Amino acid sequence: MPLASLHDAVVTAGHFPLLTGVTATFERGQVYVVTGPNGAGKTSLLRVMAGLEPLVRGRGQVLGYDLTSPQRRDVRRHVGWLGHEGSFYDELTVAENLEFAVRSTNGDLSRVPGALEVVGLSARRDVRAKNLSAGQRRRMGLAWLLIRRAELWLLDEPYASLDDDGRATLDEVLSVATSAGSTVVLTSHDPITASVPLSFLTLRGGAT
Amino acid sequence: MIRLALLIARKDLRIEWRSRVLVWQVAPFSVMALVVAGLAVGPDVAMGRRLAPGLLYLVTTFVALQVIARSHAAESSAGTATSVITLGLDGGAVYLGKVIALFTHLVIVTSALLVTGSVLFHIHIREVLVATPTLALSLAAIASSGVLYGALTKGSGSLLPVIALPALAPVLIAGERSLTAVIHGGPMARWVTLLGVMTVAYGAVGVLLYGAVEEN
Amino acid sequence: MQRLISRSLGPLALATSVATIVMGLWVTPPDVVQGDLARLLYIHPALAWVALYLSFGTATVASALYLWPRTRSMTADRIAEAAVEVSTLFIALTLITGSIWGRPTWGVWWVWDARLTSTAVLGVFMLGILALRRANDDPAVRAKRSAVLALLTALNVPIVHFSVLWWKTLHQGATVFTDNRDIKIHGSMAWTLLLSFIALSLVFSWMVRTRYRIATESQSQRDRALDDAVAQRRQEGAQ
Repeated sequence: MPLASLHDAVVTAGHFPLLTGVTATFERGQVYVVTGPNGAGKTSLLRVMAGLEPLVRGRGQVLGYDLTSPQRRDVRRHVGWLGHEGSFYDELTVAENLEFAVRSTNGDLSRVPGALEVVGLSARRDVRAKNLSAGQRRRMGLAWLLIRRAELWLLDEPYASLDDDGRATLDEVLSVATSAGSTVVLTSHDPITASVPLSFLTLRGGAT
Repeated sequence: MIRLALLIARKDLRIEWRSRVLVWQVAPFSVMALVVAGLAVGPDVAMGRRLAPGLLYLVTTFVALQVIARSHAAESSAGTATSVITLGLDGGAVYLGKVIALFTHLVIVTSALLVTGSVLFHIHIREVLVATPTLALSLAAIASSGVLYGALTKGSGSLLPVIALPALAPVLIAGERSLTAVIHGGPMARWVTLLGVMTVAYGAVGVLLYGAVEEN
Repeated sequence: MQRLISRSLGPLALATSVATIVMGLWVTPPDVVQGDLARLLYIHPALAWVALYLSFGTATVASALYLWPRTRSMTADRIAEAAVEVSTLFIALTLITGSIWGRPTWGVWWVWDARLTSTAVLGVFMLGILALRRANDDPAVRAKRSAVLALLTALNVPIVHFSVLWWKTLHQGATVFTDNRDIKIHGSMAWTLLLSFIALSLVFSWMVRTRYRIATESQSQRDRALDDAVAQRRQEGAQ
């Protein structure tokens, strides 16, 4: 069974259809890049796969959880989410945010220093999240993904706000993720050159 | 559940402490509100002492609305809310943690109010100490109900007073009556019972249904 | 059979209401003590019964059914919404008729009586539930939050009632039944009172059913509008 699949998926915000019929299959250990113009529904696709939005029409499953039923909420614990807004709490430091996330999910605290090292935030561990740059905030979110080691990674515009070093770090992280068997689905406006094989999915008007 | 609740309480307390809003804005506002209330009732000492319990609880009730709104402020930004939702935390534990944090915040603000009230309305320190258990129970009732009403009205802040004030009215009545009983004499047991029932009832509902309220 | 009941609900509600008005205003004699003022009692207790027990009770049960996963459905939510709206209306009418009766009787429009105060608080909560529904676009979030608030209201109203009762009370005690359950009022007055309860209960049922149908039809319209919106957006994307 594929890790995730959608068939004619429709998602709405109020009365506006964000997705108008997405059909796609996602296999394990692959990296998928979702492209499309602004407003095409890229973020909405990630949100429905994370179980954050209900499917109004169509069918879908992620990790065996039915996205049309309340089961979709159980998906959230199994995904690593990196949105384009800042993650976690402004007033907590990088280390405090990660430790809170790890402790609240019964995770392994010993992974935190290593993750900070990989994303290059060790020197910033005691800086409050609100004092980080957008790119550094993104890296903190990435560190959490490394700690969580979810089966499905969902990254919304991960390359935005990253400098060359940041992009290289992200490529390395994606490589580590897929080597461990995780599936990565990310959205991007810009062309991507990654060291791992990519599959592309284009959205227009909320549909594939 | 308790471990997670304490983790969340510690997180909320730490965030509020660092933001400094409670100590530098809410507490001074509450003190000023009590001073203004004192001006409204006039300079008569006996009158002030008689009305002090009602004024104290009235100001506490309105200030509590601010503190309740703040208890959900940390998760109000979209990015924070989404990243926390994906943690998949147990709703009951989140509720308990927020109640503990909200109770602590209310204790801090009410302490400032009590000191001010004692000075303005000539309430003796002995009376304050005797009233402390019922005061604490009142704050527990506010906290256990406030977290629920705050979550229900998240995203539509102006609804919180509409919904929470009728719910907090019994606390106002019971608190005022029991503090009056301490200062001027009178029955207290039924008010303590009412506050206890309210705290436990809301607590039970909160543990069971907070997850459903927060669900999206 | 169901269609027969459904079709006759409106006419029956109307007929019993008209009968209550005729009986209450012309057939029954004025009260020995209160005179014609007592005629308000042919609608006030029935309004209160529908507002506080029948209507709000329906809203509470429907909300509980919605929150329980096994019985969760938009039907329960629509019934809860309809019952809350009807309850709000009936609470307002209860308070108005009560005040009209209270002014010449007690000398004031309002007293801090437990029953009055908790009824008014319930009214505020009903308005709060309606406001909360309008503040949420997502149907599932809206249904869940208003259901929780309805249950909290059911919890809160007795608390308010007892707190005000112990603080101060003035409301009329049981009017119809004495302690040993003998009926106090007699003859045509008692029958008219009973008729008013039946009439207003039927009016409640008819209102909730009508409101439910409107909500269902609105949902169908929204579903059709969504189909159009989806098709239009797909077309725009394809261009």
